[in-house]
Amino acid sequence: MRFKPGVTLTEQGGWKLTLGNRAAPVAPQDAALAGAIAQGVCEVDRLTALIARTRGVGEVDAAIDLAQFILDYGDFIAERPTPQK
Amino acid sequence: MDSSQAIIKPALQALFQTEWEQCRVILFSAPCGFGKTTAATALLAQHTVCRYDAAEPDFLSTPISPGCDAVLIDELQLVQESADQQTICEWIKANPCKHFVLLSRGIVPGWLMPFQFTGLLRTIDSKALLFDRAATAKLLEQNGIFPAAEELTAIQAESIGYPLAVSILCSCMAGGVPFSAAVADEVRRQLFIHYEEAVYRRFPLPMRQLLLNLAPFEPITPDLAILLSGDGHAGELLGQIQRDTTMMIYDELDSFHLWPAFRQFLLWEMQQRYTPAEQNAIYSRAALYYDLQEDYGKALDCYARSGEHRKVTELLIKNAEQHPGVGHYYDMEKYYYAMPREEVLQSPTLLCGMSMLTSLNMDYEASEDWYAELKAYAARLKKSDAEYKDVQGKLAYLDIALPQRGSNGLLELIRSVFTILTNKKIQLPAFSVTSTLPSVMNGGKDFCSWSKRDEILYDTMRKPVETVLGRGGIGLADCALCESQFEKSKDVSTRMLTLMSRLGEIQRSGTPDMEFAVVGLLARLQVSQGKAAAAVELLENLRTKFIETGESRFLPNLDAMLCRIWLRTGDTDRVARWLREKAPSTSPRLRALWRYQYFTLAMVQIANDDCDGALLLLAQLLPYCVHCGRTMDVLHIRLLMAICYFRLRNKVWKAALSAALDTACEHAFIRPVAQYGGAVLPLLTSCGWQGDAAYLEQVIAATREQTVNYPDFLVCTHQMAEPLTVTELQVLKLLCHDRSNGEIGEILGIKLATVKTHVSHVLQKLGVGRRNEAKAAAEKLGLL
Repeated sequence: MRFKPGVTLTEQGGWKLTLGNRAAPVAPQDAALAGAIAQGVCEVDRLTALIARTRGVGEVDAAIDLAQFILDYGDFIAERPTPQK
Repeated sequence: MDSSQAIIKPALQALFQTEWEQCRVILFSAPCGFGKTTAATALLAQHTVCRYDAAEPDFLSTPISPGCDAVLIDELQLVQESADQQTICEWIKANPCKHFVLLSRGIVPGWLMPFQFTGLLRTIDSKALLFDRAATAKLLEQNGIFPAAEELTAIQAESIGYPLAVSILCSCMAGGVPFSAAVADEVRRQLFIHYEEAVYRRFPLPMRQLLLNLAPFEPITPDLAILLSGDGHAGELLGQIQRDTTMMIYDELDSFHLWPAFRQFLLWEMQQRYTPAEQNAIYSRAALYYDLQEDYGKALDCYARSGEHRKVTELLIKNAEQHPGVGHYYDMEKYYYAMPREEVLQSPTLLCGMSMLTSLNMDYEASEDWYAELKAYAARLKKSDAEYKDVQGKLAYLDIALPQRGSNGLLELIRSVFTILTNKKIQLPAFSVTSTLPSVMNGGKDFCSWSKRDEILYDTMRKPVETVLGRGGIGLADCALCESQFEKSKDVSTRMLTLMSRLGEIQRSGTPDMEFAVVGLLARLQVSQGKAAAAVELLENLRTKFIETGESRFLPNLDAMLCRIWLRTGDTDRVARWLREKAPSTSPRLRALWRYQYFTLAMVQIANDDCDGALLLLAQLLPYCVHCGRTMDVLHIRLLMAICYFRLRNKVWKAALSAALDTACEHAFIRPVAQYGGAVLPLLTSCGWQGDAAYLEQVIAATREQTVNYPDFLVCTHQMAEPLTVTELQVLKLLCHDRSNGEIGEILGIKLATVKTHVSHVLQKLGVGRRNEAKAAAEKLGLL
């Protein structure tokens, strides 16, 4: 999982994701996760483990949190290229 | 009746002739009133007949006359003495040149079965003796009655061609009395009086009582008979009725039903003989039987008829507890709605049931009211209370399953389900992720919003879903991803192989819901590739399997799916049969769980050029789908509405299509639009949609492909090259009511020559050669 090219994560009175003229605030509990993705951590297993560690939750809860992150910030997340029929 | 005037329909004549040539013993087996004696006598008119009547004492004392070539034995069901049975058997064997015609109210008795097994004996049953329309008309004419075509149709429908009923009708209509409901009632009354004397009173008393007790119920089984009568030998009596009369018809092992006319008589007799309290007692005993059989629908009906309201409540609760996810809500609906509010408020099961039922009937307000009451009930409980776990489970179930909750907060729902399932402090009723639909993405919930990030969400959620849902989660994530990619017209070949490799696991360890979703997706893929025949075979195999395993709840949606394929392949007969036999009812209200079938119905209506009907149906579905966040369903409704408006030349089609394309483009969906092929192609190429041009190009390309695969899909099958004028339509209607040209001219105030011209034009435009073919052609075109 990666951010789209051009996405930046900045901290100016609160974390924010920006892509072109689109910006979205990042909730405090999602900041660590956003930071990890921005730094190139892309494997789902590693990100789930990060959440479990930082939030003190189990594997299933961590996966659900990651899924929620994907839904909340999906516009900034790159799609994996798949063949068109 | 004088046999020379007997009505013998050509089919019966031919059948008798065939049997005469192929065997020596012909048994007429039919209840009283079918005219066996009259028919047999007339059919044997050209033969020298020796007649015997088993109702007479020592009826076999006179030997067979050497000069006769046929022996007629009437009332065979009365031959009970083994000596008489042996005599008849010996006569048959000793007279190889003679034919034996036996008339019985019963079936082939055991002592004659050896002749049946060797092909010497054949049976002519009651169906062969029923009058057809022509025979009924002939009997009426013999009695000076000449009904109009419509009147004859009504007579035939009411009497079903039962000879005795038609005979009684002749006397009731004598002197020019027209056929009416009052005449039908009088015929029924006289028939019942005849049955009472000629049939009922001949039965011994225990048999009569048993028949009255059994009359209200179908099918009849020995266990039911024993419980209703309290007589352990009731099963033997049933066997006797079945052997010695044809009033009881065998369905399958140990299951019978009463011949309909006789059943009506018994119900009438029951009203005469039993007090209301006695009738209630019968229903009460039957209710107990059905309750023990877990046939709750029938048990509820019987408890309601017996006035045992408390039992109705108990049974509703029991049924809901045993089938929590399904609840058979529609079957039980009238009982739920009849419950006093105070009683519902005392039962969490009924509160949960009412919340779900009202929601499925699209009454969200009422559903939330009942939900609030259940929540209030829960708030009054302490954690230590025995029902606490149960009530919390019901609330959790409603949180997940209520349609109006939509798909927002699904992840939190999944989390709460996980918490509930793992801490085991709360019991969650079973529920279906697909709601018996062939889809995960558009099943119980709409997952379209997840489709935008389908692969990443698959990577993230596959393990948790399978962990949380257990059996219900096997294959779910794979199917959902494959479906999402399919809708976006991605290459799913690899993913489909992965999914199919898990089908065995799904069948063994998963659920039939998931099997249907997977097979349904494969069928849709095959259809999109032009392989409709393969898709039909796949679905029909699954259908057979579901029938064998008792999973009948999937059949309505599976049949609707097959109908959609038949619409594509142009199999109009099968589509018409689905419409006739399986299309969902739309009254008194739409049912949320039947929406897949409603969509299919709308497609059939469009194919039948009933765009107004389709629009009416779709307009009723739209608010529900919008309210419940069903993105995919709303997309399909808008596409179908656009097609309808386009055909009706209503400019609103552009707005409907644009809204659909906006939604489809947002999700990168191509298949949902393209699947409508030639029906939507002209709209796409002329809509002037202002969205993503590259996306539109892709959609049009995919739509062209589907149009090539199925050029007849949703094309109106009932079209006339040249429509009828107003006058021609009037002429057609009168023609179909068997009016002559002269009568038509008189009614419409036009000359005979003009009528003839109009009739000629009408027949030409309908593509038929004769007047009597016009009605069928007009009905097919939906002109009448």
